[in-house]
Amino acid sequence: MKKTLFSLAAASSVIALALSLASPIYAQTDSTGSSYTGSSTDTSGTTNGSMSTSTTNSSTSSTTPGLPNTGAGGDAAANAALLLTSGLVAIGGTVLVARKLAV
Amino acid sequence: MKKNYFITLVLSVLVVLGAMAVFATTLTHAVSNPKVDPEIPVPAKVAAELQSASSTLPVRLIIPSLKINARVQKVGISKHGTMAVPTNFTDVGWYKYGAIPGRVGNAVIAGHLDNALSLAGVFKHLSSLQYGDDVFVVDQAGNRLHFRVAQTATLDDTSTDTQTIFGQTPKARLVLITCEGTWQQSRKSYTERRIVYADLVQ
Repeated sequence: MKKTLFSLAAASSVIALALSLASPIYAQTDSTGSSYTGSSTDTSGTTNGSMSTSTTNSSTSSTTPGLPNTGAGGDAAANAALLLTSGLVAIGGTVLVARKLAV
Repeated sequence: MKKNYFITLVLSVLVVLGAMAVFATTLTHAVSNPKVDPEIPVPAKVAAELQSASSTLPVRLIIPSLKINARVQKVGISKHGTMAVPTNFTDVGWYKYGAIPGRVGNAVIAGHLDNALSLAGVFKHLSSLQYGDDVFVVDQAGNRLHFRVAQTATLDDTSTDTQTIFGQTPKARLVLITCEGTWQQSRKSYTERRIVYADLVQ
């Protein structure tokens, strides 16, 4: 019995570790190395991460960013798998702990 | 023996807690809280302008034909140079470096097509909007600005020709954007963007 518990705990640990490594896939992210669109005609431009724009409330603003990334649905299958696996591990683990404590 | 029992118990509890955390985080982020790129900080000058114009800033977007009544977030530019997006799938994001809705220029508002479990985002049905459909923007003071759809278009997601969206225009125009096309796993993005242009009704 104890051997089985050990094996289950070890297997669960491996799964949990794999899950935590995989967890960043849950939503929209920007892929590395992709090209970004948009340009800026503002002469002050972007310097060290701080953006300068001319104005906010008229048509004179000259900063033209790239198109927004407004979707995340393509990750649905991976996220569903992640939910299913982590859910099963959580439920299975809880049952295991409960049974162990009951003995 | 007792030691082994204790170690197994602790390990099991840790695994359960870890799995629960992964489950909760995944569910939350996939359904309601997209992982968005950090924004470039707002320059002081722009922040001051936004503050001075606070009563005219948009707070809600209403599209009766699509049954949309969404809260408006103020978004800027992501670190990658793209327009930033709302921090959830139900709000829309107004581009705060562009025009304020109702004033001359392009007021750009973006919304998500779907979430990371493929459930509908606020702009899921944006492509259904047709010429002449009504769009309303409510500002902080409670004024309701009336726009009417004038044109719809699609643009490739890698397009650099974004002047028609973010550039200058002599009209008071509202531009709505969402994703369209097919999902590209490598870019984590859809292939196209749906653009809807609506003009202010005087």
